[in-house]
Amino acid sequence: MFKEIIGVKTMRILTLAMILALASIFPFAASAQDTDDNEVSWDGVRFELESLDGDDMNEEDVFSGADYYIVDFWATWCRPCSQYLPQLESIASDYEGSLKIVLFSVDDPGNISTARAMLGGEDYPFTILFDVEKEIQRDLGVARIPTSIIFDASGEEVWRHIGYEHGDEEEVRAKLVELIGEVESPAEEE
Amino acid sequence: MRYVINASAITVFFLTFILLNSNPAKADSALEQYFGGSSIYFELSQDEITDTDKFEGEADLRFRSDDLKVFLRASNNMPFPHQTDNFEFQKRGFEYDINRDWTVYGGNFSMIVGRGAALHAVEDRGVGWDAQLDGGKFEGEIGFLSLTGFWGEHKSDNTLYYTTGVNTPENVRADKLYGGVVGLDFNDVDFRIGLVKTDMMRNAAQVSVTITEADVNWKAGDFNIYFEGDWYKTETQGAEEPVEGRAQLAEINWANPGISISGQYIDYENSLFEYGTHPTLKRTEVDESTANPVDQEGFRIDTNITPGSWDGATLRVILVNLKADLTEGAGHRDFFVEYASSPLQDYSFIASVERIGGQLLYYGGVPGNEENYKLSVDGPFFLGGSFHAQTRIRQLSNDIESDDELELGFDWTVSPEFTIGLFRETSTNPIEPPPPGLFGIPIDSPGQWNHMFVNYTPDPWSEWNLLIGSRRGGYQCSGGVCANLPPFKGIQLTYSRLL
Repeated sequence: MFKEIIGVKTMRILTLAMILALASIFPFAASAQDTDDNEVSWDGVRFELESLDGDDMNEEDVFSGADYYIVDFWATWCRPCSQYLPQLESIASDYEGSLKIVLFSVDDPGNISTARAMLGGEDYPFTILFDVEKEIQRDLGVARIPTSIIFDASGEEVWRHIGYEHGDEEEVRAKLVELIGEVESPAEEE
Repeated sequence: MRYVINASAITVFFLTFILLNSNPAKADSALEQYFGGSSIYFELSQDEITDTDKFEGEADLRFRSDDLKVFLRASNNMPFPHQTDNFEFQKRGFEYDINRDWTVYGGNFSMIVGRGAALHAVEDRGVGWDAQLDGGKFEGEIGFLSLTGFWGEHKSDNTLYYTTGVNTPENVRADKLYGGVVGLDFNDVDFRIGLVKTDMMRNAAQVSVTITEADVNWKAGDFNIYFEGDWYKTETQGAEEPVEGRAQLAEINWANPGISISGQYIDYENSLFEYGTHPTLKRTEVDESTANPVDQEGFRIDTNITPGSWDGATLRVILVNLKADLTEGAGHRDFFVEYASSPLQDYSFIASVERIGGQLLYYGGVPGNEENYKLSVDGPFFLGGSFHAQTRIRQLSNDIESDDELELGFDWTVSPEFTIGLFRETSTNPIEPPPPGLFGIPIDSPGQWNHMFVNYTPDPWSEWNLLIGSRRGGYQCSGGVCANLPPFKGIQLTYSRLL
């Protein structure tokens, strides 16, 4: 429709101009070392999705009661995604009370049953939601999985990591130490 | 090296590269608040499989403020037949929250009815599927009543439709879809009734499809139960009678700490619909995973055992039984057992055995027996790297030649920002050999795919990736990330940046 009204050549010029305008914005979006300025505000992302337990949950139900949140994207066919989950479980246990983990399954709706079979018996201390329309994945700019994103309590993104291989959990832990602090050992707690 | 690149595209690429790497000023936090989630992406590649040189650029602009969200995507990446021109606005639309209970959408939007057999209008770029509609949608709630209405258009992605010599992307009329869903949401039980109507032109004939859908989802203690029925009526101009079909599916899930069991049943008959995706009982990552909406009935039982004392190790047992009602056949049986060791150890492995009998779907439905043995190992490697090795042996009982596959991957994290990797796949399955050599240098042979990659992430929101070599298509997990990728042979440089 736009093409018919404006013309193909003009469309190309407008598109090029849009890309240039967008590219000119990015340099002012912070240096590589300054993560405070690369933010995706959680406040602008709203949803109501089915959870693993069958309840419908929105962002207000999920993002409350913690200082930081790790959002992770997972699918039944993604092996590194499944290998990552026990590491996230260990992290959730260590930072219980100050950290919450939210897992979005980006499987098609026909795979919900398989996802329930793979996750139901694990008893992970996560909130698990089915993003079947992949809207949250798109809104947060997630192109590949697994991708982990850390948000603070105000909904601002502070860090993200793409992929999982052995040892990547240490990067996540190092970032949490920087944000929350060291994990207390059982002896210190006593 | 051959390139067919638009001079303006070169200008855009290098100008953006320079701008992004200049010393940036301190950002205005309002910029991220309103435009967070926007991204740009560039790809420069030469692919010997498709014999194409390309430069692709994509800008995805997202604006949000309180209750309004606007998005716009401009790109010259055209993976779908309905995309007709360079640098067009491929996606644009808005989402407006009237209040907490009501939302309206305009432009491109997604819509799913049931489990997708009635309508699966979404965009999944990972698998190259885009059935999003262009029109409008509203959804909302009044107490326990939920309402959704939609109407939109979409040009067919059926590539056969565009290769007849008669239909072209320019003269094809867009398909029209409209309908709605009414839901009753109680505490533990949800009911839905949906209606989808489609008007299409196929080979100069008008085709109308009407689908009625009903489903119930019931949560009862540790059980989660789902039933769905879909009824199809297809009327084609010139045909004497409409074609009627149906799709039924049921799911029962039970879970307790340490064990979960899932049962699925499907029954599809004459329910082919271009904008629907029928749930399949086969595992998604295997080649023959697509369901047959014309004639398929069967069940699947999926058991996952993972006691707490196993530290994340899992035993998975899957049984699938499929048959065709309308045609004679031996059916298809699939018994799959997989053990995954604890990922909390330094080295982890996954071992699986699969036995298939009856009709071999991967080989076009010929009768026979098939056994697959698979082993994959992951662990640390020297120089702070990691390795992945996977082998699969396939044995067949009939005259079809058996084949084995081997996959090896190594990558090294040279620094937190810099990773290099090597990846190799081999298969003895007879295949059409790819064009020999890369820039005239032979690097592989039929049944072998080798590539190296270099990944540079200066910060968590930007990434450079260089790939040289050949890559087999399909679901791939390489370098710790997974995607459904097309086959490729050549050189590819990509850059992405997220705001």
